Amino acid sequence: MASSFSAKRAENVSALLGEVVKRLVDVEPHSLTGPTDQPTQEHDENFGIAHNYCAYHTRHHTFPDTDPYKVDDALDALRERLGIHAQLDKQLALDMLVARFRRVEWRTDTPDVHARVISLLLELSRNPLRTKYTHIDAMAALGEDDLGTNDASDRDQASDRDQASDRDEPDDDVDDATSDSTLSDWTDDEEEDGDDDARAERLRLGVEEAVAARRDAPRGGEWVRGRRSGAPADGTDDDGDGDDGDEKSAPGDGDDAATDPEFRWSDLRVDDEPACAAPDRDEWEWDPRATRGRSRGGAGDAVVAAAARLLPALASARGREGATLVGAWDGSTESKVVGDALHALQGAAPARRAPGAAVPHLSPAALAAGLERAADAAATLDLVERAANAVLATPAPVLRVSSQNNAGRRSGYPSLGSVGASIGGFGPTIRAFAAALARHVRELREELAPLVQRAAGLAAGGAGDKAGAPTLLELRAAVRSVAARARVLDSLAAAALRPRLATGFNSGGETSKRPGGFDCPASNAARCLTALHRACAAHQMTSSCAGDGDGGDGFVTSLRLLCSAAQPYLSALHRWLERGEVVADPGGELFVCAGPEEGVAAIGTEAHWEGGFVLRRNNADGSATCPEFLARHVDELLAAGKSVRLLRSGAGGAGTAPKMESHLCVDFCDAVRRALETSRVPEDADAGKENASPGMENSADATTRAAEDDESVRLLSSATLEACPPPRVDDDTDDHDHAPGFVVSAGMGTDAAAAEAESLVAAGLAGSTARLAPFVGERAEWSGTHFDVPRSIAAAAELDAWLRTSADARSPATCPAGSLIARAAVAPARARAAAVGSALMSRLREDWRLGAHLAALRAVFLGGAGEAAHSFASSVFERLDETRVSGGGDLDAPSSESCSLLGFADASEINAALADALAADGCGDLPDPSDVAVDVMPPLIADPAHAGAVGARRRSIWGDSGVGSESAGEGAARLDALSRLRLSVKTPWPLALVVPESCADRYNACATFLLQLRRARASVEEASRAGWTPEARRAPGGVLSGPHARALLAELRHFTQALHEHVIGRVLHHAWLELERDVADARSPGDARRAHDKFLDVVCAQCLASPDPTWTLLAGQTRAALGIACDFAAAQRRAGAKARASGEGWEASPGPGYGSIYAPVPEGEAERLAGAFRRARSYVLRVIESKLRVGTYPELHELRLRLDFNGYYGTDAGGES
Amino acid sequence: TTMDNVAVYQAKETLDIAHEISKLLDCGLDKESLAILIALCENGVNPEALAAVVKELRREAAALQADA
Repeated sequence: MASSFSAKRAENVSALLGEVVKRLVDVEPHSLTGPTDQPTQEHDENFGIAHNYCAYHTRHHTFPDTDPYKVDDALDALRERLGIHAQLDKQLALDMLVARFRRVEWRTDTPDVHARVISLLLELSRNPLRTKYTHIDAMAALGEDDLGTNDASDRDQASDRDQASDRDEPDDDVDDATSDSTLSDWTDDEEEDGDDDARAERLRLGVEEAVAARRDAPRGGEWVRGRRSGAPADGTDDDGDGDDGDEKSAPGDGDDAATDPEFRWSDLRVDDEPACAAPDRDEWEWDPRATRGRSRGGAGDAVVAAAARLLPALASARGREGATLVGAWDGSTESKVVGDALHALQGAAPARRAPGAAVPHLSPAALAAGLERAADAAATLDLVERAANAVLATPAPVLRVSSQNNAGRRSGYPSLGSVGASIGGFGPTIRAFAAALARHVRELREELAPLVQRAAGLAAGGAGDKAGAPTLLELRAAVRSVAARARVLDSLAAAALRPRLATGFNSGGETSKRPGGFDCPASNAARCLTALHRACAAHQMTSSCAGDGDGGDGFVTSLRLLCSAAQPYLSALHRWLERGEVVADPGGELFVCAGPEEGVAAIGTEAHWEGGFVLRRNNADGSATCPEFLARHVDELLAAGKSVRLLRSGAGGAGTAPKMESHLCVDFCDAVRRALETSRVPEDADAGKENASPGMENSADATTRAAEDDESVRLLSSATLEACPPPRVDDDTDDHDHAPGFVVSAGMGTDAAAAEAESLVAAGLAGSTARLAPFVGERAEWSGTHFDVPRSIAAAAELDAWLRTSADARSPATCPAGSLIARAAVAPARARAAAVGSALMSRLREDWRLGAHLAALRAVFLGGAGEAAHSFASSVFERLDETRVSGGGDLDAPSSESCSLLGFADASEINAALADALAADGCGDLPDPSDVAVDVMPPLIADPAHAGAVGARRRSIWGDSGVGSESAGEGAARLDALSRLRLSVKTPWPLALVVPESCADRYNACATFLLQLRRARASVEEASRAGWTPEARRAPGGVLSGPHARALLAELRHFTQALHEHVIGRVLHHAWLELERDVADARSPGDARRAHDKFLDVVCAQCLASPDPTWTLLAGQTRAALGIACDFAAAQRRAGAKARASGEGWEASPGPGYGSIYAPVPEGEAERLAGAFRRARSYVLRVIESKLRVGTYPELHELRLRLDFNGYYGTDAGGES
Repeated sequence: TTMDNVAVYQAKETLDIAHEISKLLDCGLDKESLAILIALCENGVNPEALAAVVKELRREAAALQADA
């Protein structure tokens, strides 16, 4: 039984496969062809091969059994795909059909036939997204008004329908089925009346009746359409074509099937479609335009035909409650609505979110949803265009000039005061941005031009063009990209312009607090460029991270706007860096502005450097008013411009500054393109210029065309005056409405341009024979004379054209926006600043003799010229000692008051001594004596705040020794007196760029310490030589009384000598050589200034004048030790004085302050001084030792070796003993 | 008989639905071909193998037409 069943099934399959072969390959076996057919044998062979192929491959294959769940998954994937492509109607139709199909009962033992058939269809599916199929087609095919809610009733009543196939009325049982008729979506009024269930039910019944009438129409001949509904226009479905000649009955008849005792799918007659019927001349024309479009066979035919299909339903409903619904239709069609939307997008009609019209086949909600994106895009484009026009219609800011030029100024331009400020209007940056906005709006509208032409019926003129009027779906698809970019433009306009201005209603700037109603042009420009810079980064991050399908359009749009808007700013910056002038910034947008000294102080002087040009600062926080990406470099760029001015000033104005190799605008454009083309080699990039893309025109032509279209490059500079080219005689194309001498910018309104030009002429900035050079413009025709396009402007246009079509710029892996702008805008400017700095540094070294001045400072402050320093120090020391002698030679220690008034009563003597010392020295390093001066400062009042400073004693060096401070501090007081001397050396300009005035304090601190050290060493040497007379040596018992005095004197000599040699060696040799090397290598005055500061740091450390804690610790005790040395010498002098008074002592060697009698220091006092000295020395050595334990400090290591006498004294021995 | 009529009606309805699905999916099938293929599926032929065979036959037919 089973085998016979299988055999029968195999026989059926074989027969069916034969049918498949016959239908698909169009070959038949001999038995099936007529006797006249030729060549039958070939047909038999072909049929056999194909049949065997089918039989074999359907029996032996590797496909698994059909899994219903996988089929469901495949359906879900398809649904999702349709949803992604916004084909929601098709998605709904698929749901309806599959749901209905699954409810079919299969009378077979093969499992999951539903899934098998659906799987088969899915496998055979080619491109579901291409088909024109909606849920309306599905509803018509299913005979429903909605999602199969009456299927059950249909099945229940199927037999009744067959028995009464000619009935007209639907079964009343369908009333039990729930219905959510889509008619409720057709009008809002219907929703308001939704509570009336009876009326809605009657309406639904009417629609059902109409649909049923449509299905029965071919039989009844009530109406016939010329084309089957929903049939693809491409003719892929050929069932209608092959059935034209058949004469078969309607499906409801079921005659043939009824005669077959066993139903077979292959016997089923399927040629009962009403679409197969011939077109009827009585076809109901619902819209002439639709007919016209259909006659062209365009893509809109399917939608038009689908719309017409439901009109019978409407007609049926018209007689009932649906009469008001249909009556609301004002004759609008989808084509008309789409055309209106396109007009709104073109700016030719106001953008309306609610179209105010109804079309038959779409509910108002569906229509509004379909038009929403277009309405949003139209409104956005309109808003952006208004904002751009508001800016462009406003006159440019006017530079303030002297009050003498105010006569004749037009009203509306306030009186002008000082030079340098600007009033009113929007600067070139804002105007360039606005022009770029307008250009982008035009580009977006041009993208919709094909649809507009089709809507106007212009596209049908081409041969073979069968495109009809654009459909709503086409509009939605076309507007998607336009709407997204329009939103980007709107967001950029809102961010870059002031809030009120971004709406396009603030052309007068009435919200501003500034006179004239306008914000500072620099603030506007900074805000604009900063916002665009941030937008570039944000859009780039969004497109690269989220992968939202933006395709980089947002980034490219932002970057194009930034490139366009930055051109005027970069041009002004270029002029500043090239010439040190701000005349290229008439609107006052640059971060540099003229200062109070501009025009007052002579160029090249220090006053002009300081006050000629200053940063334009924000009144709120004092920060520089500049774009964000330049904020960190404004000081550097300001100094570069001032350096250029300084270099150009020279002697008699003959100085030169290095020329800029290329324009900053060109560098910017090239750098942007190079950065975005990093994935391509230069050769490819050059080739890409020629063949950028298949749709891109030649690079030169594109550049020229882009330049011609670029309104941002047509804006006027309004102040750059050049000789006026002669008017063209044979010019007959000019606008004769404008007087000669005026330049009418394409980027601004005619009135605004005329007003601007007249105001400039009235202000004296422009004459009737002057031409206003375009700021970033090209093609500025003046009286018809051709104006050559500058390279900078051509580069900007070329970059814009490239960005518009480049795929590299839209790549997610492109250069980050931050580094892109830094590389394109900041790096070239900084490179220029570096070149200028290098040139200025060369001039400082060579022409202005920076090295000689540094050597002079070394000689004066640091004792670099040994002879002059010795001479000057000797004079100073003599003045100190003379004070003691002239004070009466008191045997006792001087009081503290007398100590504070030691020496320097007359500063002129010190100055004279210094001048003599400088004049006597022949080293050549010393400056002119007239440039050097020394002042005597008043005595310092003891101040705890000065503890640890140079000259201040940290604590009593006598400790608990019991020695009175009055007698013990005489030597130290003399050291302190030296700190009152203050040297000054006049630094010529422009050497003050490297050696500022503030260095004088540090130089004086070092000079004071070195003078004190020299004084201590001289005192000890003098004390040791005092007893070297023959008489003293012949005295019984000798004069070197006591071991403490002898030992202390030896240790003091060693300490002062070692410290002095160490400091002088470090300062005058090591540090100085390093300074010379650094200054020679310096590439800018800043580098030289830093090298000099570094030199001063080292010198101050060696001279114990550094704020570093290590040197501060050493300073107190070192100075105490030096004070003890002076005190020892003073004690010896006092002993000599006492001996002379008592008639004792010996003749001393000649020396200041000793008179003629020498006597040794008493042993007790020498012991106390030795204890104090050793404690101080031990402290110094311990500090050095501890410092060396934590690091390597060559200078400290050397100092320890010197002071410790190669370890002879030991770190702790002397101090504690 | 009445039952046969019901079966025929249901079959036609099923075929209509399947044909609508095939149109939506752009399968390129007319109703006759679709009916045959449904019959094959009903007889246990693997749909994926059947689809592969149909595609191959289409390609061959196109090649034959091109040669002609």
